[in-house]
Amino acid sequence: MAKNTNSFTIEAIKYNLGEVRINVAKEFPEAAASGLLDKTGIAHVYKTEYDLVDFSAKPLQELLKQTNEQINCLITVTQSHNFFLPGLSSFILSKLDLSKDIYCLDINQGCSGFAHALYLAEKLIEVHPRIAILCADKYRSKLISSDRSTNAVFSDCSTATLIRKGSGIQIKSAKHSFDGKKWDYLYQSIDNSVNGGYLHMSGADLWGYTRSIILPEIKQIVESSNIENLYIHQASKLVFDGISESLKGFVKNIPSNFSEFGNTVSSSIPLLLKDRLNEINKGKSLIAGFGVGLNSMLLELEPS
Amino acid sequence: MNNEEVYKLIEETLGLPSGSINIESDNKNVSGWDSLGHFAILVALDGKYSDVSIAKPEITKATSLKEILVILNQHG
Repeated sequence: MAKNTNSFTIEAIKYNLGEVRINVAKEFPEAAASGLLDKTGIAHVYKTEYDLVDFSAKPLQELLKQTNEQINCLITVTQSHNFFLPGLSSFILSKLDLSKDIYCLDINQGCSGFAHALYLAEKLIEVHPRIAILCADKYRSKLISSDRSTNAVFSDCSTATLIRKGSGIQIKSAKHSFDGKKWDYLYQSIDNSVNGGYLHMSGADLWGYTRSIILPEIKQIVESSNIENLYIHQASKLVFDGISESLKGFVKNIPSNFSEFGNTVSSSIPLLLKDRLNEINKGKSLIAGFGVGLNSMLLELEPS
Repeated sequence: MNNEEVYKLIEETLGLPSGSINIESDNKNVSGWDSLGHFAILVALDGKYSDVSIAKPEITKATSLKEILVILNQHG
């Protein structure tokens, strides 16, 4: 458990969902008829045809316009790169003509990425008082059409989150877990001879991981702290229920939005927070990100 | 736990007619038992047989009735 005292607020969150809305039941009528799609709980998913830079620059541009001030630090999170190098931040700086003085950091993480970025932002905020976390993923471009378990859940989305130094919340504890031996539960190879170059996801194994590893870790925290709000990565109804139903007696507020947006990977948690800024900036909360790696980051937040 | 009970659970999970599942069934010869179907079967088994996925995590890799029944019998 790590303990820090840097205070901050999550000031604003903007998002950009893929412009093509896909009706999952129409794509997979047999799965709909058998009731299988009821279990994922996702009626529509979203795909973008835009380039990653254009797709991700839009919410950051809106964020900067709304707050009408520059940022000191940009943390990007993506696994949907156009280029092996440089990282997304270089393209964003260029596209939006941002200052050369901005400290940039590019994180290669999936569904836990926002939680990792927030963990780092809290440490950087002492010297960089206005930090933007830019999450952007286009997983739909990685999918083979015959794989129902991935096509039925993943959506393309980008989010920009502004973190500002000052009174609000602080990280009470941060617990991470990295299990490299389970990397093959969710991967995409550069080599097209490996699964055709498409995304491979073993949903059953991932579900087992969340039940046997993530759930006990979350449970340990909520049982010992008076957590008011629990923000879980929105993988699907199966995963959400597998965690939340065991915690209902401990946490009153466990919001979800997978039914509205699908699994948006790194944007999943910021999408959940975008309409709950007052809630998270004043309450005792737990953010639970987990996924590709496999890894997890659990951030316990409390008012400062 | 008896075999018929497991067959029925998987038939209901995959939306299959009664009698579709038997001891020879696996992910290669059952319609709908793909990655999504497998995920749904696991969750259904876990709900019915008291958190079997936690006690017996190897069940996530079981892709045939024979394998599933062996694990469920061990789970008790």
